[in-house]
Amino acid sequence: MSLVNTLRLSLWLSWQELKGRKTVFFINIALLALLVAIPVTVDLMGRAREASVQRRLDYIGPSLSIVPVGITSFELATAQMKNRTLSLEVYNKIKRDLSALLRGIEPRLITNMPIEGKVYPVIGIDPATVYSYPLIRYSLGKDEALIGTVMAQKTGKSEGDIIRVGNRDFRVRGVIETTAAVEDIAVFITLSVLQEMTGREGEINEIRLFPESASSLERLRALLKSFSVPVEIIDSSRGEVAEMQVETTLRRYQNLLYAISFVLIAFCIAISTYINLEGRKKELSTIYTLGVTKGIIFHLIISRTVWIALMGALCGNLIALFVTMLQGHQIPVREIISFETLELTVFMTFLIGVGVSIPFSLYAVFRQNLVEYLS
Amino acid sequence: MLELNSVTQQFRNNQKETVTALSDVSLKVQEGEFVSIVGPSGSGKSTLLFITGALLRPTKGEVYLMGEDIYAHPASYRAGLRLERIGFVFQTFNLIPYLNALDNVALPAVLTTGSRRKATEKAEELLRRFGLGHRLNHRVSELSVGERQRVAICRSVINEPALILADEPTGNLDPEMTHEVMNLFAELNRNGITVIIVTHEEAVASYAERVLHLRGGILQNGG
Repeated sequence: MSLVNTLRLSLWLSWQELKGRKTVFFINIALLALLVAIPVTVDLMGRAREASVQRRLDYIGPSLSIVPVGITSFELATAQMKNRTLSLEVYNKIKRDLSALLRGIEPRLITNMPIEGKVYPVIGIDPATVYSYPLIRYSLGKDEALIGTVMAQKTGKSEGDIIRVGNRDFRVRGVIETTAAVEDIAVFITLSVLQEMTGREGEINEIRLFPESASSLERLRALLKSFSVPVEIIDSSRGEVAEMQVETTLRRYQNLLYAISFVLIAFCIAISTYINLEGRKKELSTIYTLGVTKGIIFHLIISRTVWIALMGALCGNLIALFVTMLQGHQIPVREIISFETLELTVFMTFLIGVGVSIPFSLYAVFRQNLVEYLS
Repeated sequence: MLELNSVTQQFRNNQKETVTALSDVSLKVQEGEFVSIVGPSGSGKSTLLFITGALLRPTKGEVYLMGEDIYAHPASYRAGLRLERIGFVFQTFNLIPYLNALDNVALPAVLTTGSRRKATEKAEELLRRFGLGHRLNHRVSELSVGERQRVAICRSVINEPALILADEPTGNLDPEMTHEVMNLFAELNRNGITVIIVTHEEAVASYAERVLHLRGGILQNGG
């Protein structure tokens, strides 16, 4: 019998066996699906969260940051401004010469102060010009503050609570949505109040620009470079450093979860194959008697595992997708679906299934006495 | 057709002692014969059948089937023999539990033809001839004992073998069904198939043309 026919027969016969033992089949698939679903759910939820953040940032639009000379993108992203400042002349010039290309222009003062006993970034923003946070546009009181999501978790504060910044209390106006950047761990207060608290009246150290469109972004960059005033221009649309750190952390855990899952999958397949073979000694002996070669019996045992592995992996991915969608990220399914994840889990489960069942198959075919169970 | 020359079979039991299941058995069976081998439990009947059916290599001796020393060839040759030239019938039927009657009978033909469609057509024709046309899609658990044995017999003949080996084929059947099954074997024999049955019942053995006795691994009235 040709190899193709051997494989076809093995797949068909093993499929009949699984159909005939539905309960066992279901249990095997459910177990594998669960083991696949756990790491895939974490993976997909991470992607959904990133897609959610990215959507929000895309909605707000790309931005550029003007910062003092010598400040790097890393330092901006981690709010380490080294007490350097921008002159108000720069701010006024941008407002005057480039307003036609801008949707918004936000002056900011970024510093670090004790908050509830520990030092965190504090960002001063002008409610009259703020663009990033529709929540407080035109109205943030002098005794009010906004806090980032991580700050809210660390301090346990929410809207209406009092938070101590430096030596002054502020009422939390609200918690801003995550941007996967340093703003998540910052407190925002009125620019003038922060300038007064730090003795830096009239000072700013970041000007955030929001261009009208992607094409105006390029023109903006070119025009800024032609300014004779020395500044650093940083593309701050993604909070790249913070995002990278978040991603790295998640990926480390994801890889560990996948590794644990695959080990458990191997274990489950081994037990399932062993139990199955113990219960099928007579049947395999009969098949052998009918003239089936040991090679076909070998493929038969492997085929069964292939069915279970593939179906378990597919079901696991579907479960993971369903659970992720239930989290209400309101992201279209096509943006969450990851063929990478699907390929990885299906391929690895298949590989593990085949790899684990090979020694059992070899033992069943070559070590056991296939005739012993006929009578 | 079939010749066994001084076949001896020995095993090691759990206590590592050597047990002789068959001792110096010689037997000749002509083409188209109907032979039964009678003996009590433990006399070596099944062992003799397995050796004859290319399932178990004897410790000593040769087995010739249609002029070929079957154990001088590789395992694949013997698999081919069992598939195309030998049909088996067992006391406990040994049907595949998750296949229906049709697929059980068709399985050996699938292996020879490579086509499930052709094999299924042949199996259906056979089952109808044996009065099981109304049971084609029934699983094994849904068949009566007599029906299961008839399905097993159909399976054994679907590839038109030259030889049928039956190990206590009526052991689980009532007298009426026993009579029916033995008549089936007689009919197959009349159609030219050589039939060898091993049984512990003299009454069952009497359906055959020639009756041999096996006791303690020794063939008493020689072949």
